[in-house]
Amino acid sequence: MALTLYMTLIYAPTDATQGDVQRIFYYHVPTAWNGFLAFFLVFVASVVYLFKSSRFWDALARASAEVGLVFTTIMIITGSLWGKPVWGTWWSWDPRMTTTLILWFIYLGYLMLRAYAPSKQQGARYAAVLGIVGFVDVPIVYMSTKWWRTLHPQQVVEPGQVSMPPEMLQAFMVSLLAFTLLFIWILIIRTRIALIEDELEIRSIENG
Amino acid sequence: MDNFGFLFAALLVVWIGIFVYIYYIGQKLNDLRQQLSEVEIRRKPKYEGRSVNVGVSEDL
Repeated sequence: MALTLYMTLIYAPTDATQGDVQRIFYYHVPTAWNGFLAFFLVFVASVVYLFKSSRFWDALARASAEVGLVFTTIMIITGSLWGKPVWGTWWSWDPRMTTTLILWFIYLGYLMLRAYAPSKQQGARYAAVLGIVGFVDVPIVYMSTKWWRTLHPQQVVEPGQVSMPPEMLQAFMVSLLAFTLLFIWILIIRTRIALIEDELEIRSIENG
Repeated sequence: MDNFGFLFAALLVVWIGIFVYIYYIGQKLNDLRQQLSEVEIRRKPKYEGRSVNVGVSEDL
């Protein structure tokens, strides 16, 4: 994380047109990527849970949805803080931002569905269906800048196509790696919590 | 372009947000572990009692 701070705030050159605020990019994109990764894991874990009814996959889906929502919230706030000085507005209802907000509400609804379901098993099953259907919005968010005319810029890093100086790319890659490792670590802790919660519930039923 | 304040605000949101969340899940993990160990302790005496009784009857 210290290396990420050094690479993004000192090593990477200042953008000629946007100035220092462009450095938000090194935090905004990795948090977005990890949010998408989390929702992809919710999708995979939900599919496996519906087939196997395994406690582990349900715990992973629950944990991943929560961590993904935290990263997506940070992504939306940093995007807004970047948008104000560059576009002159905190928020615009353009396709990228609107589909991202819908994504945020889908996974907020996912967690609420689990919290307020009549029984834990029912909640897990309904949430698994929502985790699969809700993931449809992730590729829509990603493709929104290609499908529609948006205020949001196109992806600057894509397979086989990079449109930034090497120093900026190195800083971005370090930040992306650091945030991905941080995401994995947080996800392991959160999954462990979900498993212990399940264990305690089983014990309390056993003990009456 | 002088917009360092926005960058600073974004950095605060990222780091404070992540650290608060890590602190929250860390506390929750510790609480749950404690609850689990308390449940384990409450369950243990039943089994220990039985094994002691078995030992006594065998000796007799």
